[in-house]
Amino acid sequence: MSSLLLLDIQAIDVAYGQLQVLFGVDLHVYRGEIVAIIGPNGAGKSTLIKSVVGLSPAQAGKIRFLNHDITQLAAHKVPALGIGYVPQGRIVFANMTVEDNLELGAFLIQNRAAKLASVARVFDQFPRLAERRQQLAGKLSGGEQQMLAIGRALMLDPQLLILDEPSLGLAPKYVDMIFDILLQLRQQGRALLMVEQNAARALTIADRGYVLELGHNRFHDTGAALLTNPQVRKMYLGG
Amino acid sequence: MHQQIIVNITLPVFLLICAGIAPLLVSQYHLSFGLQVFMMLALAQSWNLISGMTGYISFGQVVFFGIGAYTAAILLPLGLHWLPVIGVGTLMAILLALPLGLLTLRLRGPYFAIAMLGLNEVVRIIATLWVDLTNGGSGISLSPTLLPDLSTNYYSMLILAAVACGIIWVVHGSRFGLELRAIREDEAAAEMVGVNTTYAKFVAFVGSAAIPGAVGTVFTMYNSYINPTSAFAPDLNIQMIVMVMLGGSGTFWGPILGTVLVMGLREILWASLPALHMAILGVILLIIVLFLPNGVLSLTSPKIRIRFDLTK
Repeated sequence: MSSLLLLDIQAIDVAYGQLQVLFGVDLHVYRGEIVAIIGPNGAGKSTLIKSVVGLSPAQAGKIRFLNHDITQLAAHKVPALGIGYVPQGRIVFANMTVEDNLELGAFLIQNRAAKLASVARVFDQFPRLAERRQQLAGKLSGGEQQMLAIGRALMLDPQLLILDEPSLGLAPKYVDMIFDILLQLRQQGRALLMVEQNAARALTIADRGYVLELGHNRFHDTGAALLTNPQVRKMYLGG
Repeated sequence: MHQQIIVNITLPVFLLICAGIAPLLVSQYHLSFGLQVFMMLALAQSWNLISGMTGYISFGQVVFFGIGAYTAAILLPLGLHWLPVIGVGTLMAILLALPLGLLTLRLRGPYFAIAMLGLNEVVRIIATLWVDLTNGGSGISLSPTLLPDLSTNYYSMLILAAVACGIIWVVHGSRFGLELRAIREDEAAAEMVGVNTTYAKFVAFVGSAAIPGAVGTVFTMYNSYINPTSAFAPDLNIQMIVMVMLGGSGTFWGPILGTVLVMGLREILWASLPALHMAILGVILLIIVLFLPNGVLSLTSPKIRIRFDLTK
């Protein structure tokens, strides 16, 4: 595995108004690896990834993606850099077809042929979406909607995909399906950064993991090491 | 594809030509009615641009109409020609929309709607209290010698309606239209795929303010009298909303159909049942809203909807 540093978060503070959520948090993502962020509710996991995609900008510290300083970058400028984002709650354009959803994912591509090629690439990867291309996104099952949200984020062929609770609220068979997709994406050479409440499952597939607690870095190790760390097991993995 | 061209290019051109030669053929009464139809059509399409296309429901769109109406009422007595007055009215509406857009478009959903409603009330009260400029609640009455004749006003209104429809026609099929559609569907998701939502909403808002500004000036020239209640009439705003929703919001043909239906119904009912006509109209609207929430156009077959490019 190449060790190119993709995402470099250095000592960021994030606050919502008077309420500070993150305190000097560090995190790194290298090319082609899966990084999981785990921790109890209110630890600031979602805030951390939202600060990367411009939805809750950091007040202090630095966030770099490759050679770009993205600390203060507006949310709509993030996709063009090669960062895909799959928000919590399977946010799709419910009244549009599967195909239109994907085309909107390639909104920044002006060239029609390139856009269609990108749609075809995503359909290749997710044949299930191809079968439902003319269906309204709102009529899909929860798992299929999540698949569509991931597919949409892949339209610009991102090097880094950021996922907020990808398995939340899904039926068990869809949870398996989503985790299979995540492994597939790593095989394609993409880096993944995910927040996941299913901590044991996330650490099983993750190369590295970060444990946050009350807005501070608590542990940082390989996924396997965190899984066997007695403190982590006791606090977050139910023994 | 052929049929789409016939419907979306030939039909509008044909309607425009009919409307263009109408003054030669019809009575003053019908010309006046036609002017009112075009006025409502222009206003409905302007509401369609901000609210139908982005989903930001505005109860205060009429504030721009009122600003245009007062601009004309104040400038015409100074001896200005009516043509530049239309331009100044448009400009005033845009100048009001610039700061307003920056302030109100941060608000989402009902908050935006209520902010716009409140704003229209504030401006109406200013117009009532600023007696030196507006003559207060008594309003401004203009001498007919200052004003263009009925058929000139008719053509002005026709051109404004055509421009408003043209804007929707162009936006609907454009990349910008896609941005607005994405915002209406899900603003957060739109941002995630790279749409600059703040900028797109702002452009749509300012654009949608310009049309009522111009329409307001021509209304003053046509009506020769305005007061704060007729210029900043919440009722007029409700009518725009009804016409767009009735026909089908976010589409090109929807507001056209809605305007013609409401104005036609009102005219027929007013002539035959003067006492009850508003009540009957209200009931009809209630039925449509309850049973056809996507507008009358949703009754048509999918084939027709595609032909008319009515899919949202």
